[in-house]
Amino acid sequence: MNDLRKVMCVEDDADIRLVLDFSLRKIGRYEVLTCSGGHEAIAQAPHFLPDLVLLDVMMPDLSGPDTLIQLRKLKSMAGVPIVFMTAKAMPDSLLGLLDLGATGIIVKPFDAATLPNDIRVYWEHGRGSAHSK
Amino acid sequence: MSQSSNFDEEFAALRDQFLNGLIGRWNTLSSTESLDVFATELHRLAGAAGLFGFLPVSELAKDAEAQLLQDAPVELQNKMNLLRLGVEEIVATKLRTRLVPVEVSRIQFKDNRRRHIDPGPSWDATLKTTDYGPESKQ
Repeated sequence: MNDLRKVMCVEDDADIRLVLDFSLRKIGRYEVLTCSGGHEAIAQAPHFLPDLVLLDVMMPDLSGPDTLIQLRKLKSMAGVPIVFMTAKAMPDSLLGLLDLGATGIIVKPFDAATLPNDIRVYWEHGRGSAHSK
Repeated sequence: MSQSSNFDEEFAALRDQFLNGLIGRWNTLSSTESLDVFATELHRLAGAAGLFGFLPVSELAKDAEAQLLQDAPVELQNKMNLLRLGVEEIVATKLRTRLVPVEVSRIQFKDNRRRHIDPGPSWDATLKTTDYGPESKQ
């Protein structure tokens, strides 16, 4: 894994998915796959082989934490940084997300203009080490 | 065209798309009897409104979500009344419309008790500016 190139975004809100796609594809020049839920992400991850996953915490079909646990069971996802996106800013709940093995947390509302750089920081920090928790 | 103006234009187009879909989001909130659907729609509205810079609406939706989680139907009703006004205000930037009030008493809470919500003075006050026809109060 030499560079951050492919980003998988898992988000249940269609409007937010459009902004994620716009921000990361148009500004960040990343290859982007958006998924509307955890089950879709688990099915797509082995084919898309993302370098980083942006994962919403609260989703109706499968929660973000449950999705992370399932993604971590995939051989191809070992060491791939997973960054949560959440509107919840309670320190205790944020620490709980990190304890699950997430590389970082982006608090909503995020800035679409700076998101591509923000996730690069997490990617540089977390590549190859996220799976060690 | 500079990169920043290009960004602004494209982001504005996405924001317009969000505004166009707001009435549909609100109609879901006002018509559902499912607690799960209600909670999910509130959470999505909070996230999307914040992302597009409509922070008061985002905060009101978060507050309503918190009242829902705290099982506080009267406070939730008050927040939903305020949220309706907030959503109407930002929708008005695109078109003039009035939104149907959300009556929290419709929601089937987990314990299957149908909540009776006393409309109270603040509820009546928010309705004075609108005309939706007869209110269906329990």
